[in-house]
Formats: sequence, structure tokens, C-alpha cells
Amino acid sequence: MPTATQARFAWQNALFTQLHKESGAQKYGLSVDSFSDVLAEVCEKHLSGGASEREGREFLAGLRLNELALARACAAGSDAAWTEFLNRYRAALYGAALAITRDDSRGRELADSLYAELYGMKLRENAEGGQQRVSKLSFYTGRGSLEGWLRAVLAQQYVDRYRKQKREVSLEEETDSGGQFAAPPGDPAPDCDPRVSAATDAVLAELESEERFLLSAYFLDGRTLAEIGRTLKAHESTISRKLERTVTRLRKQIVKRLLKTGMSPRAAEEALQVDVRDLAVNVRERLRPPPEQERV
Amino acid sequence: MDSKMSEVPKIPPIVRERMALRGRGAASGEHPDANLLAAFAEQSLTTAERDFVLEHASRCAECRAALALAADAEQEAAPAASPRPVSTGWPLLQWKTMRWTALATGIAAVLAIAVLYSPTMHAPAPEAARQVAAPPAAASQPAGEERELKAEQNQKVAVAQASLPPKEKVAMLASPKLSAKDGSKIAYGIGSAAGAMTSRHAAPVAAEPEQQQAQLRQQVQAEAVQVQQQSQNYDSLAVNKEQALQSRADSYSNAASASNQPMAAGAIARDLDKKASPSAATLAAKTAPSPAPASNTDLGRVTMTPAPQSETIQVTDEAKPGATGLAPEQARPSAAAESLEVASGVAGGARMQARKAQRAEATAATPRWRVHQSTLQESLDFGTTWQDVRTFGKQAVSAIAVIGSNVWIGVADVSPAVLHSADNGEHWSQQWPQIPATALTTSSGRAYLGWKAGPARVTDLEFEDARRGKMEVTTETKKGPAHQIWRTTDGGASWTLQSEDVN
Repeated sequence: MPTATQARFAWQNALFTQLHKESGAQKYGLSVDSFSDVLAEVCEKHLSGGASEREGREFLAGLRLNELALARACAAGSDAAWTEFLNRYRAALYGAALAITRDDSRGRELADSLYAELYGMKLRENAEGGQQRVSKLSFYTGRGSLEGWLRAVLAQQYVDRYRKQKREVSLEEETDSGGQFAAPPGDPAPDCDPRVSAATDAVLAELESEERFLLSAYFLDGRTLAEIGRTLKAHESTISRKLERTVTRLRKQIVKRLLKTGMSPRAAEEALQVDVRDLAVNVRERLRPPPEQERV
Repeated sequence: MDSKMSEVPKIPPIVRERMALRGRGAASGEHPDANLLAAFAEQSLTTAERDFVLEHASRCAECRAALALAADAEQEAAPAASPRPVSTGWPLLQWKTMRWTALATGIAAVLAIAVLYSPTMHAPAPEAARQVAAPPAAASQPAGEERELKAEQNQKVAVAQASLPPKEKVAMLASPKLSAKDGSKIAYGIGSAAGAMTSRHAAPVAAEPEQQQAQLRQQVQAEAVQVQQQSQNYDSLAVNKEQALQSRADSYSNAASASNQPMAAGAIARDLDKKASPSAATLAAKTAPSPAPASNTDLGRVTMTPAPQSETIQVTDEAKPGATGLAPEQARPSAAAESLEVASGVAGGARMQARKAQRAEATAATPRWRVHQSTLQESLDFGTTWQDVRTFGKQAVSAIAVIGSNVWIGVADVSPAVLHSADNGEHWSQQWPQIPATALTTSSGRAYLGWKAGPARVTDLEFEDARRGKMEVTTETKKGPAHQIWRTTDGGASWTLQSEDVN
């Protein structure tokens, strides 16, 4: 049975050998075969099955080879790689954790926790029946910089850990601190007109993904234009213009669709201005029987 | 929200509701991994991948939050990056238009200089050229001589015309009577003048780089000397520091051997070795070329930072004198519920000085230790009064063990740790977990720490002597609460997982 190395195309083997040299993987103790396996794994993950040789070469040319070699060598247990990783990224890791958490102790906790995962304190049984160290660095594929990847991992972990902890607060602590709990949510408010929600859904689906992202980030999350601009690498004035255009077009398209369903222009405008939650409350008030009838 | 929000129109309430409903349907298994998020932030994704990330993020509040946090962290890491220039909306002022204007202006300037500073600025009077230009009266001469004369005249014309002032030249060029040949001579004259000017001006220009190079050479040499002096100073600082630490180590060794604590010296020496060996990154940063310090005091502040793994913490309270062995029970917390809170700190000011003075006086007092409401406390007066000992962080201390001058404390937090002091609390180092310098090993390979999955506490610490001890760690794993027993035979320098009991 051919090995993984043999199963690859000849052009891949030659290219992988060349990339192994360019990446400097040798100084971390990564052999050509090991690094070739890494590159093959990355290609398999990110390239479609029918990718041509040219597409493969272009994709591989865009990878951060040196950082990929460093990360995978760390995951494999190379002390030299780990020393270099510490020298290059330790400060950045703690800096990013502090920037994310805005709290010294939490930042340190977050960074320490990730450190252990990067080093690979967790054991997993391998195919041979022994135990193998599992390092999070083995998931780095070189698509972005290693520093950027570390930031992304920290951000995800922070969101997972601390935001969930915020929701899972001890009832006793909340009561002791004088907090009051909101009433359980009631039944979902009925649509005033199903045509409005259908038209809204259709128009939202027609928007570009970036436009939907802008709407969600600005109106649902309450993020500032500057924050959204940092995320999308655009100036806040650009974000502002895009949002304005999107909202204006959104309204027009929804009204247009409502008009097609036979709604009058005035009714369509009113439908967009009405908050269905207010309508639901009014309906309940109207349905409640008067006190005199209850006594009877 | 910022002030610009007023410029963005509001969305209809129904749109907000439908968007929120869409968000509830984001499946957890579709989250883009960190590789995609990193590449997204660096704008190195394909269009399809970018759309995928944005589409998912438009529905998933957590991924939006992660993207925003990563972007903020990136900006803080690179504050020098300037934002893209805002388009002013004035096409004429945009670079695309202005660059051609700039180019044209530059060419015109060069031509003007070439023309104005041509050798013909001080050209002979035009009369001379006109005299020369006028061919002599035709005379009958032999054909050969005539040809030679004509050639000579043509040459003179060319020279004279080339030396005409620019205005004259332009007028002549524009003259309909000018023959093509003469015109080319004039043009050649202009070109020659420009070339002459260029060559004339090139000489001093060529000379300037040499001067600049000489200046640069001198500057580099001066900087090299400075760097050499700095490195020598650092070397001497390092030597001095090492000597000071070694002398302290010797004194501790003597004290430890006097109290039958052979391992204390080794532990301290390890600690001191870590302090004495600066990290490569620190040294590299310190020896990089930089402006010379203003005075020796600047160099004095350049300290050798310990290797990152040592985590040496300076106690804010003053040092305690050497102590004889204490029964561990005397320093153990009285109740399991008590826990210590160890605060962070570098030694602080007057309070520490006062404590140091107090300790220096109380040389005969044997320090006692206890854990009181998650805080480590010491007493120098046989338990009459207790003072908080603050080291670092806000971790709750949950266990303590004392053998002579060795004090071990277990801290309970998301990141549990064992801190050790071999000099009665004057200096602390983190013994467990020592990540990533020293891996905790079992006989079969790497140890497993369940603390990653959730909060963990060091619930018990016991030492038989200065070398042999055990600790119990309670943690939450995916399978449930787990109790781990770890043992050490070298005073806590390394710990081995002995057993784990998962409920």
C-alpha cells in the first residue's frame, strides 16, 4: 500500500521539498516527509478536491511557511522550536490576552490557559496504543500569521469562557448582591402581517453577506463605526456610507415587495414603523375582559 | 455608540426582529476556525471564504465578538499602522490625478534648469553669431577648397548658434528660413549645453555621496563604540549581579545547612540561577544599538530580568530571619474553609522598608504562618499579631505547608499553582505547574492536567520533610469532579501525578 508520501503527485513532492527548504523547517528538526505531510494536510483542508496544480501552487505560495514549520515543530515536541516560539510570541500572547480581557489577572489566566494547550498538556491515545501529546499548535495551517492565529484563538476562548460564565451566574450570589431576575419571556409576539415578515426575510436574504454583517454588528451588537471598521479594515466613514446605503435600500426594497402583495403605500410605510411588540400588548389589553364581567 | 450614528438611519423594528431570529439559527458546528479568522483579519482569504466568514458572523454574535476582539488586539499590537486615507471626494486632488501633474511639473523644471543654466548663458554677442552665420560673399574658388570652406563655415555656424542665448535659439528655430541641418545643429547645441550642464553639476553631486558616506562611516563607528561600551557595561552589571546573588546563595546555604535542610539551598540556587540568566530576548533588546544613556544611573536601571518561567515574586513585606524547623501543623490552616488571597506586588515603598526594619530587629523570632480568609499571613511574635503577606495576583490560597524556612502554598483558581519560598517568604517562585520550561512527567510520559477544563483548587499540601511531599488537587473534568494526588521527592521542583480519582 503506498504511503501518504508516495500517493501524492510528483509535482507535489517536488514542491513540498522546495518549500521545506524555504521554510527553514530543518532547523526545528522537521524532516522533509513530516513537513510534506503537514502541507498535504493543509491542502486537503483548504483546497477543493478538484484544485489544479496551478491553484495548488498559488495556495501554497500564500502560506506562512516559516511560522507553519515552527508551529508544527512545537507540536511535535521540538525544544528548539519551542524556545524560538517563546522568544517570538510570548510577549505578543500576553499582550493580546490583556488587550482582549482588559484585565490583568484575567488576561494572565487566559494566556496561561492557552499556553498549556499550545504546549500540549493533554494526552490522547494514538493508533499504536500509546499516548500522544496533543498541542493546539497542530491545528495552525499557516493561512494567516501565527500571531494573528493566536489572537483569534484567544478571542474565541475568551468569548467561550467568560461570556458564558457571565450568563451562568450563581443564583445565590445574584440574590445576595440584590440583583433581580427578569420575568420569564412570554409567548413570542405575533406578526401584525405575515407579508411584512416575509418581505423582510426576502430582502435580507438578497443582501450581500458583508451588508448583513454590518447590520448585525451595528444594530444588534451596538458596535461603533470605528470598531466595525477595525474588523473589516475600512475607515469608519466608509462603514457609515455603506450602512446608510444598505438601510435606505432595505426600506425601499421591503416597501416595494409589500406593494407587490397588494398593500397600499401608506400601509406599507406604517407596517415598517410599527413595533410588533407594542401591537401584541395592545391586543392583550383588548382581549382582557372588563372587571364587572369577571365578578359575574 | 459614536456620534456618527446619527447619520445612519434607523432600521425598521421588524428588520431588527427578523435579523435576531436569523441569528438564533446559527449552528455551533459551522463556526469558522481560528485559521480563517486570522486570515480574514489579514485580508488573505479568497472571496468565497470571506463571504463564508461574513455570512456566518452576520448570524453568530459570538463570532462577531471574536472578530472584534481580535481586531482590537491587533490594533493595540500595531498602533503605528495608519488608517487608510479618506477619500476627499475631490478628483483633482486625488493622487491619481496629481501624480501626472507632479510628473509634468518635474519634467518642465528639469528642462527649464537645463536650458537656463546651459553654457550659453554667457555666450558671445549675437552679432558674432550673425556675422558667422552670414556666409561670406560668394567667390570663385576651387571646388575642393570651397567644400572645405563650407564645412568650416558650417562648423562655425553650429558652434555659434549653439552658444546663442535661449531666446535667440528659439527664434532661429522658429525661423522659416532655417534649414533642417542648421536647426539640428541648434538643437544639438541645446542638447550639448544641457549635457555639459549635467556633467558640470554631476561632479559636485558625485562628490556629495562620498562626503555623506564618510559621515555615515563616522557615525556608524561612533555607534559601534557606544554599543561596545554598553555591552561592556552590561557584562559588568551581570557579573556584579551574579556575584551578589552567589554571595546570597552562600549565606542561604550556610543557614540551610545549619538547620538540616539540604534541599533548600538547591532550591534557592535554582531560583537564583534563573534570576541570573537573563533571557536571550532581553539581552538582545538591551544590546541593540541605541542612543547612549545620559548617565550611569540609566545603565543601573537596566536589570537582568529573570527567565520567564521562574515567575519570581517579591514579597511586599520585609524578609523574615532564618528559622528553625517548624512543625507543619503549626502553620497549617485551622479550617478547610479558610483560604488565602495572595495579592500581586513588587516590593512597595515605605511600608516594606518598615517591615524590613521590623524583621531585622526580630532576629530571634520564629515566623509562623497561617491561612486566614484566603490570605497568607505571618506572625513574627509567636502568633500575637498577624500580617497579610501579599505576593501576586488575586488568587485564593487554599493550602500551606512549612518545613523550616521552606514554605509551600497552594493557590486555587482557574490556574492552580504551588508557590514555594525557601527563605521564609522573602522570595517566592512558582514550582507547579512549571509551564512550559519543565514538563510534569510520569513514568510513562507527559502528565495530564484536568484543570484546563475548569476551576481547580490545590486543596491539600503535606510535606514529610524538605524533600518529600504530596498535594491534592481537586478539579472539574468533562467526566466530573476529579481528585488528583501529586508527589514530589525533590522539595517541589518536580511533581508526579500519582493517582486520579474521577467521580
